Amino acid sequence: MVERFVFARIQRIPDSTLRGLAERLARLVLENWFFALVFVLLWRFPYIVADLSGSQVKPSRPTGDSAFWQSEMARALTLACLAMSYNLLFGFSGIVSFGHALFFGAGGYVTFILMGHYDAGLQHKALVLVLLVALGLALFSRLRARALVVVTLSGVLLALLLLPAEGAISFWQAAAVALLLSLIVSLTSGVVTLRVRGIYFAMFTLALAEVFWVLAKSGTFRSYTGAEDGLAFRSLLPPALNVTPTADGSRLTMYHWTVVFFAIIFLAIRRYMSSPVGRVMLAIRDNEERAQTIGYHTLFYKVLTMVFAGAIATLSGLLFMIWATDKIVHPDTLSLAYTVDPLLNTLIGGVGTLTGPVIATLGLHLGETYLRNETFTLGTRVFGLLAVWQIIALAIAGALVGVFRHSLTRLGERLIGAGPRTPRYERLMLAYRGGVFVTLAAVLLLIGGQLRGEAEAVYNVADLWDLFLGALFVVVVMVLPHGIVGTWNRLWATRRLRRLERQMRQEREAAGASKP
Amino acid sequence: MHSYFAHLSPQHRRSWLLVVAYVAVLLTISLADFGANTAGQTMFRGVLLGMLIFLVASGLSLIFGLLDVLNFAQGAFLLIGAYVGYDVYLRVDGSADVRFLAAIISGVVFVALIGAIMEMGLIRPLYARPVFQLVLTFGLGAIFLDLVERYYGADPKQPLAPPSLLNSNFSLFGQSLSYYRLFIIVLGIVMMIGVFLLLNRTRIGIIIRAGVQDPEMVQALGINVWRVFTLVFVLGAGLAALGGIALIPYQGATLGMGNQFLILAIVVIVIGGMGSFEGTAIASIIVGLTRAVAEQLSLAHFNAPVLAETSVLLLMIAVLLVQPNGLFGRGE
Repeated sequence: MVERFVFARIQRIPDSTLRGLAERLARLVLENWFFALVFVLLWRFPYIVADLSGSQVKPSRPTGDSAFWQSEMARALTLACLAMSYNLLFGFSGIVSFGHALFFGAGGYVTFILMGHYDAGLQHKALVLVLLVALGLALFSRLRARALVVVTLSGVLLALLLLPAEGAISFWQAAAVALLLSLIVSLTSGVVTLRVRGIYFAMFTLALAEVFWVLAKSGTFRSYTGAEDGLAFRSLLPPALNVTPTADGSRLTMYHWTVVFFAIIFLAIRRYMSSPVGRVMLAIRDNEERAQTIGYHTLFYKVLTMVFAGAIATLSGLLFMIWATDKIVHPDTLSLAYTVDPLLNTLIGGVGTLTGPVIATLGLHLGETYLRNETFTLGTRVFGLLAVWQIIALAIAGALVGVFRHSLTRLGERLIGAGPRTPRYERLMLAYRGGVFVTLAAVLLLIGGQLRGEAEAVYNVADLWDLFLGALFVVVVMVLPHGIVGTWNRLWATRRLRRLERQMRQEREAAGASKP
Repeated sequence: MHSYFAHLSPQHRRSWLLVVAYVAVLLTISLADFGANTAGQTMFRGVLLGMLIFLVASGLSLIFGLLDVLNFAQGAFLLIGAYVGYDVYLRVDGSADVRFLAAIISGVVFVALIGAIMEMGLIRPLYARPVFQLVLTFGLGAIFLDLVERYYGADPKQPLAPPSLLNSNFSLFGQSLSYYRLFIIVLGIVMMIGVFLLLNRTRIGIIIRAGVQDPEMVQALGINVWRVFTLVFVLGAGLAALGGIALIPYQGATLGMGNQFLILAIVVIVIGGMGSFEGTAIASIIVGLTRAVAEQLSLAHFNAPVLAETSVLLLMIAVLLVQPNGLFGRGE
């Protein structure tokens, strides 16, 4: 509606160059108004929270809802970047990696270890390392991938020459080195292992990440990594990045930078996927052998995507750690938890959709933060639907219906009367199945209420959250196979198709009626 | 046995050579480094660990081979088996023998039942979507772990007394060892032979192996593959539960044991080649030995368990680089 109106107006502009400009502008705005709105909302988020809760955006004392939610939102945004980079691999390229946390954690570890232990001899060591990697890759890689290797490695070499020959290393230089290192690692592991297909690749990456997790946790390197306590970096952080929720507004500035970072990553991924390379990636995801037959060197594209995703994960990991309240890099950032987290968010939001991972991450992370700050009693039934037994009862009822579905169908046919699959029959059958499920669940809930004596017990959401997440996960996998955004998109696509069909039918009928 | 070696493919023959050479290297290292007695103890511990891993990994491998599901809930099966067995052991009256037997039966049956419900109700609708199965079993594993923690508490459970028959010690390599450890090894070997015979000498085994090759063809021959799928899933769950209960008198029950053995089992089936039973059996022992030797090495030299914790994963990476389908895996 709006589009048709706007473009009709633009067509009436007499000057052709002006018309072209206006058309481009209108297209830009009309196609991206949603993202622009979200960006503005994110930008204004601290002020909105401040208005709603009556707290200050820049409080004089380090408290207040707005200051608290600024950091929570920023952390959620960095996690959303991680989920998007995982989606780039898993959803857009069909690469199942279980070691994505390696890149996430590496950002913080490499940067702050470098800053703490930099000496001038490091440059030579790094050069030797790069040359060794180059030698290894030259042995392992095939022709087209070799070009990629050469380009990346020469970039890395150039960047290493920019490091200070003496004195301390600044935060930005260290972060750049961390990014370069993650490029090298993803390039190496990609070139060597991406030829291994499917589950073996997943296991390989899992092992690689686990090795580094164990190394980060072990006491052997305590002076570097701080072992299980984590690497404290408060003293290393430059003052501009050391966010404090006080009146100087450094947290607010940092929050806005985080929003900008998020927007850049989002646009970069969108641009990447709509570029020719992205199209090839989609082709590889759908059928790798076909893409190979057409003539694409699939390994090259897969390595390229892996390098890109690894770089995004490294940067968002670094930003995530800067936002940590205790200013410690925990070894858990390398653990499987930070691979599973984006994987879940991608699945729940919608595999292979742009906005799905973002929506799921923001929803789950902010929801968790909100719920963890409250306690609920089962007696009040506020949180009743999510309480333990209810979830179990629903799961058992669902499983029972699934197990006995054949006998249930037979029983249902005896009740309704077996017949052709008319819409009425389908409706009755659906009602019957739903009725059985509800009855079963109700009976189980009743039994549960009888069995469980502590009906008035106070449940801390922190205890229930993992269970809730697991259950949500199972439900999404079983019921919404395309995730939230994927299902939504499909719904819209079907609706549009129906409308188109209806339109064509009407036109056909009109054409038929006009004929004599 | 002779005919087995005569009909090996070149790749598998090379894998056998690699395995023998690797074990020989491990043996040499430990003999040279620790002396005969400690080396013997280390090897014994390695085989013991290998057998425990085998109980979890064989189920995982069977399920993956036939159903193409990498079952991340396998660790939770072990966990549930151990905790339920522990509970039953404490509740039943009678001698330690009776209690232990009751624990084994109840734990295995309970977990098998869970496995059956899970396969029929949740996994079966997802056979067309492999990645989702992976994710589903992962979620279920997390739920099971949480439920066990909620029901039995987070505190680790102390080891219980083994059955009276096995509650005495014997001396091996200059160390006094409980007969129960020998029992675990024997149990592992019996299960190995049992599953091997089941797969190779029975009708159901033929159907399972045929199903690994081509499920649709088996179905076309008029065999209800779904029932066989469920059976294999139940068998795998039961084996894992058995492993969990066998652990109780040895090291008690902790919440972490499920995931600990799951990772080892995944490493084992990757090294052995997914879906290959012989590969799983051999790789279990290799992984057990590697872990034991690495533990002993890091105890002797490094004063920190880095080597012990990473050794198994490094072994897996090395095998994947040399032989991307695992030692005894099928080619692509």
